[in-house]
Amino acid sequence: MTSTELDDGKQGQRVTSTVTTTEAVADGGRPRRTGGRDLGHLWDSWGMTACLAVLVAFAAATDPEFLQLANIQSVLTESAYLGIVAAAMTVAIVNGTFDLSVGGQLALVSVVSLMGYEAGGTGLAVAAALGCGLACGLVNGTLVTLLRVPPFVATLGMLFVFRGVAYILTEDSPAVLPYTEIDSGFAQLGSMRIAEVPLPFLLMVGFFAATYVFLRRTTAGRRVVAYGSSPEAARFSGVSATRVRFLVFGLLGLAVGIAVLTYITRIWTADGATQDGFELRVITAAVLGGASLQGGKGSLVGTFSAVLLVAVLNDLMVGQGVSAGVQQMVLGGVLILALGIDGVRTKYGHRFRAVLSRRREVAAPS
Amino acid sequence: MSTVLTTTEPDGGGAPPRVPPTSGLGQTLRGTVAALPLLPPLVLVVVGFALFAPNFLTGTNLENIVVAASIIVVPGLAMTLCITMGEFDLSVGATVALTGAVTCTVIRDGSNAPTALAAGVLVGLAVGVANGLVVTKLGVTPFIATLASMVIVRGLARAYTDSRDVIVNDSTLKYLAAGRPLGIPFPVVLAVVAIAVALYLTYRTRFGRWVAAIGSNRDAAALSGLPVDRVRITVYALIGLTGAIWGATISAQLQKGSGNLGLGFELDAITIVVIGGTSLLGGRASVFGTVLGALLIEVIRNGLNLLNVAPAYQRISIGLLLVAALAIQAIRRKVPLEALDDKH
Amino acid sequence: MAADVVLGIDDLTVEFPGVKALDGVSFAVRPGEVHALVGENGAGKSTLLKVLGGVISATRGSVSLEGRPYRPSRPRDAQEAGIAVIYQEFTLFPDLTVAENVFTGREPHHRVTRALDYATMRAECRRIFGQLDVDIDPDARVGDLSISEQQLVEIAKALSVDGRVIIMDEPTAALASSEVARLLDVVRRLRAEGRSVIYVSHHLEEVFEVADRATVLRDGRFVATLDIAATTEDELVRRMVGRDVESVFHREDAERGAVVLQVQNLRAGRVLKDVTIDVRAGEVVGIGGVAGAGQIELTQAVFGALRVHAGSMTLDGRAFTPGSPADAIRAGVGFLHEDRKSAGNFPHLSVEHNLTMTVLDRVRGLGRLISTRRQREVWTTYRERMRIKASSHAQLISNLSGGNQQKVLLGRALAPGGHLLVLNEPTRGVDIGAKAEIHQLVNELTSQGVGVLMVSSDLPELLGMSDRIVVLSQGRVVGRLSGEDATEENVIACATTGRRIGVAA
Repeated sequence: MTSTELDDGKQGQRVTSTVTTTEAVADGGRPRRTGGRDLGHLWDSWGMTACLAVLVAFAAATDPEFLQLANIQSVLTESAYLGIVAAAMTVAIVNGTFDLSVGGQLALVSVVSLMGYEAGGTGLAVAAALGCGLACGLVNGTLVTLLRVPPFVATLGMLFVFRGVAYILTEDSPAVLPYTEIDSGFAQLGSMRIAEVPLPFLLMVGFFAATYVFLRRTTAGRRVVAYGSSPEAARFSGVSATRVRFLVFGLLGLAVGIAVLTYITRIWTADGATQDGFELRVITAAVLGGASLQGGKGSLVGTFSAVLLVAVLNDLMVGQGVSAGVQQMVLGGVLILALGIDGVRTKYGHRFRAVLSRRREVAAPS
Repeated sequence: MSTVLTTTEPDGGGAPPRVPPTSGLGQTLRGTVAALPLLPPLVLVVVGFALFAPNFLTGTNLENIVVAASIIVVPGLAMTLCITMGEFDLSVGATVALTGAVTCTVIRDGSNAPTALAAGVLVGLAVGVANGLVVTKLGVTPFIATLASMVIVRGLARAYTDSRDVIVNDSTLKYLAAGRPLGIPFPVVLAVVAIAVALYLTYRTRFGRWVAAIGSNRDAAALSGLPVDRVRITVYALIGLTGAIWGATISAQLQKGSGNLGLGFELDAITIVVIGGTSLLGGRASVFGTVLGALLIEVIRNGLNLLNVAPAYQRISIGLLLVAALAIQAIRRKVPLEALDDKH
Repeated sequence: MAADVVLGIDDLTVEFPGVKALDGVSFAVRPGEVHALVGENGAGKSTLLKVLGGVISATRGSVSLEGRPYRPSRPRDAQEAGIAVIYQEFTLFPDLTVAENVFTGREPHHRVTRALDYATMRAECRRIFGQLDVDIDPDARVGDLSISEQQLVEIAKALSVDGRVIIMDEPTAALASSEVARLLDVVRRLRAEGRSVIYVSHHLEEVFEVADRATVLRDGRFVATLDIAATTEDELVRRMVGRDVESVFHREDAERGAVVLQVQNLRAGRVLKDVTIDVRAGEVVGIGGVAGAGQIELTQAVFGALRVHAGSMTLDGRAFTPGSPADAIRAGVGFLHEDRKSAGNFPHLSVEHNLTMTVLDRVRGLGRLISTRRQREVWTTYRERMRIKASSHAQLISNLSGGNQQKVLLGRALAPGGHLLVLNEPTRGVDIGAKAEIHQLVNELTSQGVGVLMVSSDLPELLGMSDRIVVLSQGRVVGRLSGEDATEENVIACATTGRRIGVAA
């Protein structure tokens, strides 16, 4: 009974918690695994939070200014736009896809939103951001569903298209929010605090919560997860691939729209080069948080911690005056490290666990 | 563009034309046939620009196009192998920057050009092998691994040059871009050699067949005892190598190295392969398609330049071209949506 | 003694974390014999083959090949030692040609130019295919071949390494009966050439037809090696299961009701040309035919997963034109896919979430959000009804045995609560115990008025479980068999010879 799966040679497949099964799975029908399994399980749930804690402790120890309220507020504010998009990206990765065009979307939506402000004030700026974000997402959705372009390449192409459009719109001069508008409602979006907590951070927390409910408790969310776990099985369970993918890319576009509201209201200027390499930071956060690029598995809690980790890391590097090139390298290195750990665990995990369990047998022969 | 391409779609869109006996020659032929749908749009674009763009049909301009296509086709051929294997390398643009910067810096610091070129090539190979090791030994998805390495290598190039241009003036280096052995521009000579090698390697050697086998069915390749990891690492190394050649040529053209060189080049390299008909699902290489693809995008870029279209539009048009080519491929083969997901 | 053994397996043990997949297995394969390896799923057969093929290595024990120690650390070592494994999943490259496939990894090539020697590859292919008495073009693309031709390419691949020991893992799983006969001929010819064949199969009749001896494994342990001539099918089954098994197929008659599904002159997909068929409440209609005759296409068209070009369908008397599986599910059609692993399970999801996938709309509660309570109710209902053995609702489906996975998927198919159940290979890859349970479930369902359309390539199952059998050939109905007509001979004759029974010519 228990060895059926072993016979398939799948013993290396990881059995760990997913967004949909947070309840313990350790009491499975097969003999309890020992040692490494529990370690891996623990790492999936709390690894990123532990890393964050270590990094914060390190930051606090080395930089006396780090723990000051103003700095913490700034880190939280800075993490918001990254976090909002990373939450949506986690959904995409759980769904078995991802979006390389979010950097281009961020630039374009920022430009359009500022143009909206110039034309019609705060209301139009907000509407323009959300509308343009959603439109970008739907364009991607159309490409990958109706036109059948593989998502990886489709969004790579659209990254350049969105950036290109942003460049064209700002050909003469970057889009800006003039300093005279410092007291406008739009500018307040980025700087307001509620009980000392920055509004952008609250927006991010709200977005994470909404995404969590979406994945766990809505039928559409369940379908998104199921499709990521097995596209074919999803099809034969009545899940529409087109609808699921539109939903995912629409959500990403909408997330970019909301993210822009927390970003452009602080930065006040945008052009085609805005946030170069943003997509990589977003994907890094999601992957660090435990999302598996094979689909079906991801953790919003992990992503949340990973976003803060990336923000703290950035804050540290900026504080130390590290050059932009080195910052890039560190971030890329962290991503490779995260992916490498994940890959090695998938590839060699069962061997490692075998060794561990054997040791334990020796240690506790009872 | 997309409407032009659509007209080449055979009605019914079923199986590709059947090439009778398949052998090394047959495979070559098959690869060539896959490239044929690219000819009509290429002709159309050429005719279009000839009619509307001033000075398009002059000898110098046509030569410019061929030289530009020659420069891009060399890394494109390596990318063809990579995509045939069902994988991508996004780091090639950053490799161009890093190797170009290394080559120029070594020259600036007083070494001769051959030494500098060797240094650049070594760095390119190192990047390629590193990519290969990460995707094979660490088991990281190639798309993401090379996305990360793109950022790392780019950061390295910027840090290495301190974000400043490295200006050089070296006649040997210049020869790479502007030399004319027998009156033929050097990049064209290099490209012809590279194409010949690629044809041989892809269709007539074990290595080429193994690449196709891995792209066709990776698990089966491992069970058949193919040295899968070694082949994959070699392909990434080839991309690193050709990326270094690309970097050296671009640096030679501009007589400078810079951490910002080659931005977006990965898109160009992937685009020429994909519009050339090499399937993203792996297993089928079209070397000639890549050659035609290189010509097509350079004609478009050149024509748009002559029409004074801003570079941003050119980038957009290449992005759209890539997406359109893929959409046509997928629709023609009636790929079900789920099939696209199982591969990656 | 030693001269009489080509492959000696001694105390072979393979441990995975917490589980021993093989536990001290020892037996010997003689030169020039067909040695069957039998056992239920999970008995350790595939693990053993993977050790012999160099895919995984043993924790303990040894293997000797012609008296010398044999310890392959990768597939190539096995090839070079003369052990060829034909795995259950094909190891072919659809984009390469037949010749390229046969020689993958060992392509003859020029020493200096490294150019491949296609002439030799082609000639060698022709020679091997000549031996096998089949005609396959070495230059054809493997992706263009039929499944059985692909199987033959696999065999040619094994022969080309000059394998002294050829291991076949369920070689007939994808084949139709006539092709099975041809394959068994090939196996006999290999034996006549003095090669040894290790033949793994669930189909005991094949074992009795072709094997000299059979080794039985159970739960990773060696049970016995039996002389086929001196044993019986019952004896073998008893050894496999470790207990006596009653007749596996036991169809109970149920009361026939109204017509649930009517299919009229259906043309769909590429294969299905013209099929008329109906299913009544309480009956099981079996669909037979060689692989690729249109059975799967028929079920998919009924389920809205395949485009219908012509013809009509009614469900419960009303016109039925499903545009997608979602439409079919809404209309109450239950569907079981033939490929549980890649198109049935959601491996990352719990059993409960797997089961409720088709009835998500019904488990919504407050604010249209999924209600944990309602979800649990659905799960509990079907767990009891399907007798699913799972430790909890949260257990991952991938941790269950094949039979229990299948029961979860059956529950998923039934949950919409309609009167039509479409079953594709309902017991493929499940062990004998679970098989009987699934058949019992089908009996219960029909007695509750469900109509079942069943495709099975397992002929005894098809005959044993169906009230009527419709045989397809090249997308058309060539036989309608019921009662005394429903015999193995008739099904095979209709499927393969162009004979027609119960159908106007």
